[in-house]
Amino acid sequence: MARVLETSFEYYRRSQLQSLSLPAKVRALARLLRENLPMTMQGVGVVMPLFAGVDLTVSPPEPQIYFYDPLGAQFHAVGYAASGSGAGTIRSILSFQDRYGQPRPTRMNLKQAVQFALRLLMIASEFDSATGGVNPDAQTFATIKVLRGSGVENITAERQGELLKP
Amino acid sequence: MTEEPYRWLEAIGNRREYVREQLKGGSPVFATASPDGILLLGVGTGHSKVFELFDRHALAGLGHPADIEKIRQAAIDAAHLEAFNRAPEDVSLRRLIGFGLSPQLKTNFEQIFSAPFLLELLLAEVGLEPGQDLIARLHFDGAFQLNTKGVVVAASQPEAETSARTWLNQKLTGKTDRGEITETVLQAWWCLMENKSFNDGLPPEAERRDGWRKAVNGRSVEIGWLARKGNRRARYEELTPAQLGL
Repeated sequence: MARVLETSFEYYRRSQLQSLSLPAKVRALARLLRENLPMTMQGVGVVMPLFAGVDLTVSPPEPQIYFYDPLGAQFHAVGYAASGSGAGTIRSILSFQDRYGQPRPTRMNLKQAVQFALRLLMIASEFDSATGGVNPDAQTFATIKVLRGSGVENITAERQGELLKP
Repeated sequence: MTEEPYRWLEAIGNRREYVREQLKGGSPVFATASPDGILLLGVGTGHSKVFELFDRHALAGLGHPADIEKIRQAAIDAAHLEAFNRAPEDVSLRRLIGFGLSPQLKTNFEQIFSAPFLLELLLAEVGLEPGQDLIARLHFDGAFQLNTKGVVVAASQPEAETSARTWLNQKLTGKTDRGEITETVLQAWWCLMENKSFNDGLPPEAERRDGWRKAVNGRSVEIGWLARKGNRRARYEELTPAQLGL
């Protein structure tokens, strides 16, 4: 799905000489999920993705998070979202942090956000055998990408190791 | 029946003459390879001469806007299809032109009862190393030449094109600053537009500098930059003369 979307967004941008708007990108993923429905009903290829984008139509550009159900319905998340089998375990932590924590997820800097996300993955993997988890001692880290108005930045395993240090 | 081959030759000759006549006065486009990347330049009306095709590929052309658009779309379609079916690394300019655009242009040119494409094109592919760059000069009849370095020009008159290219290659040898390259290329653009002879001595540099600045008034200098290195997969970037200090 990521490859289909990447190709179609880039194709649109180059051929039409303008970028596809964020709402159109959100709907494009919803359409893909709907088209995948027969496979989902057969138990093959169930996907519940998260979609993050930067809305460039407002100033300053605003980050937006969307989550989906397998039928293709899209929901706008306000500050955070989690998906996958381990998400149930950590959603309550996210909710707690968002309501009572300091800082809240939307107020975290990069170091805090990476630390928080990696620790959540460690917790999730303890309660859910299908969550891969993170093991800093074995240099096993997650795939983390940071979305900014200027583009997408990859946070390498080495960097994650550094950011995880207190 | 015996005169048919002659009719064919005459028809093709007429067609070639017609295309050249239609392209007369067209604003030339340029591509220059440098150690940091490839710079494409044209003077038009904004998004009319220089375009991004794919991650490491760009196009610049002169001619009828509808024809440029057709070829641009065909190239973008082919590149994205190839990238999706295989991988982005498999998209190559040599194949795009050799198996896609060139045969399409040749077929169209030889179908004497349909309208010919009115265009002259430059296509560029930036490589990992300077020696791997490719700049293709693609003509309206499908003929093409591949170049791996230096400056390539597409203009409506073949003789003027060759002279401008020779002059630019001499002037730009060893130059790497994008602003300096753009300044020189724009001087060549002005000389071509004003039909100045590159062989019999050009106007002094001060006049050339002044000339292009006056001539681009009311037009848009379109500059495309294909960066050799970068974090993003798409290496194409649109630049303005102001960004280059001009």
